[in-house]
Amino acid sequence: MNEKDLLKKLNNLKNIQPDDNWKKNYREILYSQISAGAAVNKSESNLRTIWESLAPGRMFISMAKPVWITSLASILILVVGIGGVYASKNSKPGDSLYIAKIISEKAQLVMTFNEKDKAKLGLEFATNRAKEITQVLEESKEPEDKKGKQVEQLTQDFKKEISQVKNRLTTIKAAEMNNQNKEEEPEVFGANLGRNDQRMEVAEPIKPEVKNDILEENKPAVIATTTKENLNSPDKALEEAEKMFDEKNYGGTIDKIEEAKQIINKEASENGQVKGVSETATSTN
Amino acid sequence: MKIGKIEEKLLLYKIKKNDKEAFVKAYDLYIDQLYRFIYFKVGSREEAEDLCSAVFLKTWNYILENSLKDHKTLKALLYKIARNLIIDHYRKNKDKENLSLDADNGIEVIDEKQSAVKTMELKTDLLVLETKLPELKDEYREVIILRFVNELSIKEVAEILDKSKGNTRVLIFRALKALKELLENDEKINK
Repeated sequence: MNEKDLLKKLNNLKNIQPDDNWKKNYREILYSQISAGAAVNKSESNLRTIWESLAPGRMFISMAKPVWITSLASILILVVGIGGVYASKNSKPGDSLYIAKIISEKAQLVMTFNEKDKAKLGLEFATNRAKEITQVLEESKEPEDKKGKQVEQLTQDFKKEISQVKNRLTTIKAAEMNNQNKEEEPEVFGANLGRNDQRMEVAEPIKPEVKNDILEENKPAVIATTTKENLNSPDKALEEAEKMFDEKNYGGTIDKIEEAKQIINKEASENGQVKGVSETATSTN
Repeated sequence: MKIGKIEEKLLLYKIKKNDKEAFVKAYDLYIDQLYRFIYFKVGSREEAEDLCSAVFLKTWNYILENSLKDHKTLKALLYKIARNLIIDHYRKNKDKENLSLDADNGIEVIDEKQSAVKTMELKTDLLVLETKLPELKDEYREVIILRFVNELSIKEVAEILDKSKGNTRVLIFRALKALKELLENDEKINK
């Protein structure tokens, strides 16, 4: 007997069926038994059942699992990433985590949109390079050839960072000059915008006087800041820092860069104050 | 009576919500194959009927207790309950009598309305198989009934037997081989 015949014969056993009368009788008995035992539930239409099975609650339960897994995985990646960046903070060229440090620096730069903040970051990175050079030079285990190469690379990086910062500072200055020129004109009109015609009529003769007062008040502050810039500009500090760097005075370089950073911060806070004063003055109109 | 997969899932969903009519529909759908399964295991028509009714009642109680969450298909649940009830049945009747598939019992089960030729053919098939099936290991017999008589998929058989698909495939292959050998030996003796 081959397998086909055997399967056919086995399939013939399908004809073994319960007695029809018994089936019918027991169907009724079963229905009465289950009706007696349970709370009555109305039979639902198929459409309703499909809708319920697709309802948000069930969808949420079925979707929750992958969402939890992905969120846990992303948190894990984030924690590992942040940990790696922290661990790489004090690394120097040649360390395995140095790449992570450079990548995190680049990422920081990409994530910053304000030009001033970018310049500040550039300064920070330049100090990092100077610090790394001192670290490399202090390292006694490394052979001299390797040290020399690393220092050379770091020097190039330092100069690159400083030149980038300088470029940024010049663009910031140019932008500020433009803004100052623009602010002088539209401020007079700007105060009237958003007001209705009636009030404009009332306000028109008075306004120019008030505006002029404000401008007069603001002018000395602006002049003061610009003179300060001339006396103590970050560019100068950076030039000095570069000089010191060329003289291999790395400690002095770091100090000068820090100085430049402070000057930028000061400028930013002063500009903020002047802006704030002018804003309050215009809002009182 | 055959049923589509989506229809089966809908039915299970309704039953999970204690829908009595859906359960009675499930009874209509599965009673024949479940009866066959039990009949081949206990070998007596009356006992198969009693056990069948017990299976459906127990399944309904199981649903009421809201324990259906773990089961993906109603079919697998019905078979599992049937298997447990058969084991209990064996335990209870262990001392009373030794049960085996009886050829006369089997022939009685065939529908009387069928044509005489077909009935004769079936009778011979059943005689051969029904006498040989009990000689098989319980595990093999079970798997042959599920796969080749009741035409369940390997996935369904695996779910009922709590085995992996691979294990089930191997079991089916061995069971079929064992049955073939039994039948061949029988033929040789008859010759």
